Amino acid sequence: MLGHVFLTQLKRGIRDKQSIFWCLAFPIALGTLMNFAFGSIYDSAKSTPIDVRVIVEEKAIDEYKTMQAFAKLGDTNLEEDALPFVQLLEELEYEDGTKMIHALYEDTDEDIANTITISGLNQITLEVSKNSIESSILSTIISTYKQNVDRIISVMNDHPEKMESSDSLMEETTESREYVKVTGLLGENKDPFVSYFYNIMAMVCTMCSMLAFGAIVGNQANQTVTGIRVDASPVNKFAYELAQYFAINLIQLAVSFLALVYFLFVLKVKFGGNLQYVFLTTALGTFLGTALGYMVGHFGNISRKAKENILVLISIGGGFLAGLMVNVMKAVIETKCPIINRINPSAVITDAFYALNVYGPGARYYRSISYIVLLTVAFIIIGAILSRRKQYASL
Amino acid sequence: MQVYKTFLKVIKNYRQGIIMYACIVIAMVTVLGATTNNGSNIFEKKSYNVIVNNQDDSEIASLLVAYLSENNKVSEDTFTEDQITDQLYYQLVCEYIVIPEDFGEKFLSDGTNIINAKYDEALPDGMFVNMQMNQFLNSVKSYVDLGYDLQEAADKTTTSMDDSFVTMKNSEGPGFDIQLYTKLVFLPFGILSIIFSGMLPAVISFNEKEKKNRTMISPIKLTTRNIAIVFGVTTVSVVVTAVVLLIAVAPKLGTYINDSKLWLSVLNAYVYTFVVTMLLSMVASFPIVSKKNDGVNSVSFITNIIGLSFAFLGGTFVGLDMLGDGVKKIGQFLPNYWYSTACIKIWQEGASFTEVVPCYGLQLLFGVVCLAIGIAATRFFRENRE
Repeated sequence: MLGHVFLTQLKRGIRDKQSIFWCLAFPIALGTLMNFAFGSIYDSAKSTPIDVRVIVEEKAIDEYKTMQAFAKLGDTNLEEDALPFVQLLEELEYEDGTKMIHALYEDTDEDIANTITISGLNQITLEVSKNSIESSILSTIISTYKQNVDRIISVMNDHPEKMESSDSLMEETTESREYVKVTGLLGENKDPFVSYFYNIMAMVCTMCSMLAFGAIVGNQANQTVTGIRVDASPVNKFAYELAQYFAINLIQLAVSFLALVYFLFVLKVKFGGNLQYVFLTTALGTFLGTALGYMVGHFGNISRKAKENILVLISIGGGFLAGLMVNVMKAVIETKCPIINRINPSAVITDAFYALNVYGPGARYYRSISYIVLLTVAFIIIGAILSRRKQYASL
Repeated sequence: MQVYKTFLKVIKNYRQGIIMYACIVIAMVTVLGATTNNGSNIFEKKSYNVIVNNQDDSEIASLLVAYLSENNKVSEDTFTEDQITDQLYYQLVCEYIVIPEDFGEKFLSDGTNIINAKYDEALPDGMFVNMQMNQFLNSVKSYVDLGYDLQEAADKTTTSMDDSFVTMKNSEGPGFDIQLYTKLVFLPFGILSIIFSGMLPAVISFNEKEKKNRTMISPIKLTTRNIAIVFGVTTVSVVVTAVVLLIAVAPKLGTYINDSKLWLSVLNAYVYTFVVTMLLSMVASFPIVSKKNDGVNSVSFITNIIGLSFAFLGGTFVGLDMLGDGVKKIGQFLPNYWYSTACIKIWQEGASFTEVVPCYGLQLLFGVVCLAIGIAATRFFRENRE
């Protein structure tokens, strides 16, 4: 009997082309757009040379010449790039060895956001077009430099005999001690925008719970004619629905895997972690989504429309809290009210992908997976309990 | 009038969906408002969220934390390793700093690499916070070497770190209100979602073959019926937009009630609303959209696909300045892009009505194109059916 119901539901599901179309169209359309929209944001935020226009005024060179003369170094035929601050700009590098500053000394038509004007040894100004990380880094470089120069000037004022060693003192202005030891962030793919794809997969799972929901509501005698027939037939209701559940899972699994294959091999999104585990997570997420539809389908005697709205609320509201619209939302919830991330179906699915990427298939990943399994089991049990003892005496 | 009244009656059946989406959108707008800080047009160094785990009770450790707090939002709360990694990964926090127990001693004995920091090395944010720490500690150490005590050295360092040498271009006028701006930029997603999820099923139900045929043999012209439906959709949309606008603007209504920025933004939201109603009429004219079947509710999928894709490409969720050139080129064909551009012009550049009109116009152009496609599609499918 179970096999018969399973096959019938499978055939019904496969013939329901509209449902399959929407379940597939949703991730493909959104995934393509997101890949297009976010594909390069992380790369563009990486440490790249900061464009800055540098204006060196004559009096700055003259001042340095005077200082060189005092120091009796002889070389007073100076160019602007011999100024200590200009040298400092040329030498600065990021931790990965990339040049930090791309200084432009010539007039250019390019729209450059930051302009440094060097008017003297410690008379340096910065003009910025907006508050940004680039302008902040530039202001810190200048302020550190000015601070050191001021200190050296005060040393020379207090000890004029050190004037002759002013050049070595100036060199000291560009040196600083490193106090911070850096540890990099874990994770195969550190791009936080990949979480949008985790969220689309979670959304595929939760939105497609509609399939299970449709089948379950269809079995209810107060909702459809088929439901009246099913209710009158001598079959165990729970066994009947379980067979349906597995059949829908099979269809849904095919849809989710197709969407995942599209993401991984066509859009070439790096989910991070071993591929087998990525597929495993998708499969478990799909079971969870179907279980959600199964549970909501059994919610009391409320109308189909109301139940549908509950399902939409869980998938859209849950998606928002899991980071579908604003990707940091899941981390915010994790610090403010982590319990939501444990019971929100979208969040547990997203978290499993995230854990796999950042921590690999270890304890953290298995903990996330266990939440998916627990929620799935809980939804099925709640659904099964709600499905019991329903009487349709008036029908 | 008869069809218009009937449409409003039919809409009542779908009020649950409208109310539910409205609640979701209001919650989203409220959360967004609470998680954004206000902006300024005077130069301010970028301020980052950092977590500091200070295990040292030395004076210099406290001075360092105090200095970091002046420039950044420092949290000394206790988090689990997982919570810290989550926050670093999602860039909610840019750096996790551990000041070890023996930091004070090592600092005074010329030690290096004595603070442990964790961050994404590919991004400049963490490195910037490190620059601040190194600058502070180097300066304090120099002053200490010159004979000052730690507190004096820290005071002198802080005093010498002023940013008065930095000026902003276009620094006149008040800074723009990021909180309100963020809420307003987010509104298109809400407006579109509510209108589509609530009204698309109602419009589709009017287009069902049986009902449409009945209308066609009645004395009401099809054009009159269509106009009445459009008016019905517009009426409800105007109310929906008024509600979400009010929720978004309410906390700042007193401040901006006499400011043209607010009214230009209201106009912008209404232009977008009319465009969405035109888009709705186009979508409803395609037979691929059915109200529902036994399986999935296609309206939910359409709402999400259109709503999310427009929002992602049009700068609703992620600012236009962060999107690549290719994305912007595609986005220019969408009303969300021009809505966001209008918001930028109004709130960041202080644009006047005449400067924002092109943005309104381009949104309306999109709507007119949708309307034309919708009419063509209706005729095409009607002829095919006949």
